[in-house]
Amino acid sequence: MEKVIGIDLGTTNSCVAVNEGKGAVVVPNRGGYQTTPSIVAFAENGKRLVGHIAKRQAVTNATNTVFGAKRLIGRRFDSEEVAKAAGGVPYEVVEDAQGGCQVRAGGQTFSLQEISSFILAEMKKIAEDYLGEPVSKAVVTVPAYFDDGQRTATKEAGQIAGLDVIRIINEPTAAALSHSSSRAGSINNLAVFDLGGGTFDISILSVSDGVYEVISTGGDTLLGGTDFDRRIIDYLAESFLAQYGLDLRADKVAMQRLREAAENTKCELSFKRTAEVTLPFIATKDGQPIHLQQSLSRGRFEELIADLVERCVEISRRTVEEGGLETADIGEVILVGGQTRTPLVQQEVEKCFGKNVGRGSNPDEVVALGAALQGQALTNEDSDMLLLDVTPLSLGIATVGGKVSQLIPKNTTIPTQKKHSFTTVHENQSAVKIVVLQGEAEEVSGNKLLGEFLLSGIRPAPAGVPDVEVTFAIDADGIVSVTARDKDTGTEQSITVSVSGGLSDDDINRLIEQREEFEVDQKQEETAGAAHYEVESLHRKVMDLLPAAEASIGGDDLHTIMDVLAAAKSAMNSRDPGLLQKSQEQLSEVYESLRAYEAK
Amino acid sequence: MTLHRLVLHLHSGAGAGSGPEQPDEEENYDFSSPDEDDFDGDIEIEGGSDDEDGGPSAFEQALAEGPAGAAESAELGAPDSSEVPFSGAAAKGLDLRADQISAIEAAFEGIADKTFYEVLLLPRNAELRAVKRAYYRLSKEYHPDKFYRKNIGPYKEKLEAIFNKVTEAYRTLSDDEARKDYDTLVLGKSGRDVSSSSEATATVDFVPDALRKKQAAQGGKPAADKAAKSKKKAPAPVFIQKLQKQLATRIAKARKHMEEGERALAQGRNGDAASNFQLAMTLDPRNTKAKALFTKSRTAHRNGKAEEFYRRAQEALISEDHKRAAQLLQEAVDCKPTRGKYYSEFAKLINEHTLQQRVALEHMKKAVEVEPRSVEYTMELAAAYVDMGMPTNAVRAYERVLRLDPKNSVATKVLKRLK
Repeated sequence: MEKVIGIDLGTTNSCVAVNEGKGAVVVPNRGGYQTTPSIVAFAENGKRLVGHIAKRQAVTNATNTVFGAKRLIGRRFDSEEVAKAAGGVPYEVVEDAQGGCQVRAGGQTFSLQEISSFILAEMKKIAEDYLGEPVSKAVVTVPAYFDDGQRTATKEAGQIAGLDVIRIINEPTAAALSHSSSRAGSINNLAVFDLGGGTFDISILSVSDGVYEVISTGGDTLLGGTDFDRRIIDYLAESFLAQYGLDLRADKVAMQRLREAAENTKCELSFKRTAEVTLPFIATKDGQPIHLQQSLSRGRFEELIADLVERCVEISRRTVEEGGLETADIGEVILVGGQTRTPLVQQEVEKCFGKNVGRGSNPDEVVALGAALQGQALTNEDSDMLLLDVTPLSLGIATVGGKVSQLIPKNTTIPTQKKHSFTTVHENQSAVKIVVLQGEAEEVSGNKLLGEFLLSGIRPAPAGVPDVEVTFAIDADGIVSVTARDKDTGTEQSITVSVSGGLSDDDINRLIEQREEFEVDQKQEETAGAAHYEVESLHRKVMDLLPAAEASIGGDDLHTIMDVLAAAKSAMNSRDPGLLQKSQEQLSEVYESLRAYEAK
Repeated sequence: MTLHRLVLHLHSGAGAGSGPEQPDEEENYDFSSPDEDDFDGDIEIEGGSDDEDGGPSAFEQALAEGPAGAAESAELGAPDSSEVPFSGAAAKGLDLRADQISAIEAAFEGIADKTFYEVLLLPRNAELRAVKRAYYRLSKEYHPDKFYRKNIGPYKEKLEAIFNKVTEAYRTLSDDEARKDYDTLVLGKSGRDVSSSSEATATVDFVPDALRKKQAAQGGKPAADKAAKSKKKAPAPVFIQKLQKQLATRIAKARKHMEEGERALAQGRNGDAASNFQLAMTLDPRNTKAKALFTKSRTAHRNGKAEEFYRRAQEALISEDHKRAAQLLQEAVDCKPTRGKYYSEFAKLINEHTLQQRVALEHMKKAVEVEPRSVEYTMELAAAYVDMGMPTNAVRAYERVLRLDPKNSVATKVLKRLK
């Protein structure tokens, strides 16, 4: 069976892993890095950049550099979360026809699925280069607290990138999978504390003999390293404001520099007591350039983020309780996500669980490794591993008056189904509308709308007589589906969905075609690039040998050589593969004969 | 019919049910036992057996062994043309080994009537760790992921049924309270005659219709008075007792919602009232009062909302915000499509400010359609037809007016002019 790769599609960084031998390994990218920034940019010449190369030009090309797409994917434009996230980014976030989000960069508009697909395609390529064979199957991870819309959108992104996403699994669960269980035959309770760039997740698992059972899960999809950075940015900007009367946050380019500085400072303070922030020529006042010079101590930083860390701990406690356990019952705590390197975070987690936290494994890589392992477990018969995950959000339907009736409570093991009977309230009513929601709020308005399902084609009958059984199912990816059956006739009831957001099949097909075209173009460019390099190198070599050989070569021969050189130059300019190929052959011949001359 | 829906509500547990979907599901839930003689109509809430190792009860044995019983279990696992009988070699065309097939068949046989302990292969006194281990062990065998994207044909449904039951068993037995309830009510753990306790009486009240009919047919013996019977008589099926308990819970919940709803209604909170009545209706479909109150409160709620939108639309009109007024009137129409007033006002608004006469006309037609006896709306419609140069329609409209109000002078005059 072909290989399945594991991809950790993170808010700030992504990572890809493959299965090798008995375990999994992370595949470094072309630059030799284990992780690749989840950044997509559009250069002035229209070229699309992904990863480190995109990050490097982020400051000078702020409005066309898209980062943190994960905070927007699968969300409604008019949601509080999007308002919060969109407010802090230099690129434009706009609403699409269905009320979802899109971004504007490089003079074009993209759906978030597309942006994420560019990153997934890049990770796919990294794996393919390493394995030396094409890859089409992957397990992709998402925050445990992602809802149905966000999961579906992530799957769509994979589809556009040419990946069959065979499973979507939760990040903390993936991290647990890559953590080897200590003693055979015993049952361990494990807590995974995952604080990444954009999201916080905590999962409690019970592990025994290769079975990983998730007992409860909690989190906050808008709490992560980016928020820690924001605290530093505000601190720096406020002090600058006090000093110069200028708010740097209003300037997109300055903000980008501040963002980078904040990220670096945060990392520095993990192993230094004080950090210096220097940003020269950050702004101008009365025509004069002014600079930012500020120091930040670890203590002050900890004050700034104290409430964020406290929130993480509070959510952790609550999740342990929901699982019917106490913090003392937890045998091991695993830290995941770069943000857990912050000393204050480690300290508070240790205090909460009363034990030392595992610092062995690399918090940036464990999620991708776990994803690869799950891919292996699904496709390999001999695998001993089994994952029993849960749905993080309750599923319910709306009743008249705006209240929610819960059908599948949160922390229910998936896959799961629940059947519910519907009937009519008017005589000869031909359709019933079912509004499906995800969330814990009692009021409809506090939950996420999954979709409005219209059950039509109900036979005319007195009110209360028709009996339609609707099955609500959550599959192993955590994605909801609704099917209906008329119990009296046994036939499948027709159900139409008006989904909030998501791409249509046509959209996806179109984007897949675009991606394929792009890949073909890229390949051509690469071959052209290689040929160009060859021709250039040969051209130089010939030029080097020419002066010495000039004396011994006849006039005609010299003319021929000059023509070949000129043709090579124009071939290089045109970048035409055909011309380059020809020039390469010609130059090789010339070079060889000149070498022969030299030897004489 | 009522029984049917009741059963459906009761059976909306976490799993897909204790068996695969069958075309005539009535068969599965018919409360009369397959072998009629064994069942004398009493609800015996008797323990499965006295042996502690959780062996099959007399009834369950009868079910498995009796000819009708064999027929039922055979039906559940009936071979169809695509299924290959168990043989030493793997089934043709399916991605399953022979040992896997036999394991699935064995686990599936009689699964609907196995107790949770039997399903997990545990003794009654098994502690939590053992329950968990059992669940993990069985999960590794029957979880759908173990057969991911494999071609397993007819075994897919059986696997689902098995795994759902295994999960349900784990959930019940690993939760202290749920396990206690299960042991007492369903299995009669303490061995005492639960049928004579008040608990049993309460549950016996909710005897499903089919059962009651049967009791009546057999001489109307009141069930609660019977003392404990010997094991010779078949005890009530395990799943009946479970359903009864679930039913009791639902009825209690429904009652609470009724109270809440009536309270809300008294306080004028029509929306909350409607919500509560709807929930009560769902939980207890036999409650006609709930349905009546639901309809009443929903109508009141909608009326209230529609009027509210209308009022705000008027305000918007005064402040010349026509776009907003149009939106609000549309909301009012959507809320209460049976009132002509909103259509009429909407039509006027469109007419005056957007010159979309055709659209306005449609709305006026709607107003007349929902309130055909209104002279006012019909007059408006007729005038609109005249404005738009549709004399034939106008004539018909005015004639209608005169039928409703023969003394209407305006109509008479215009009609004369048109003709």
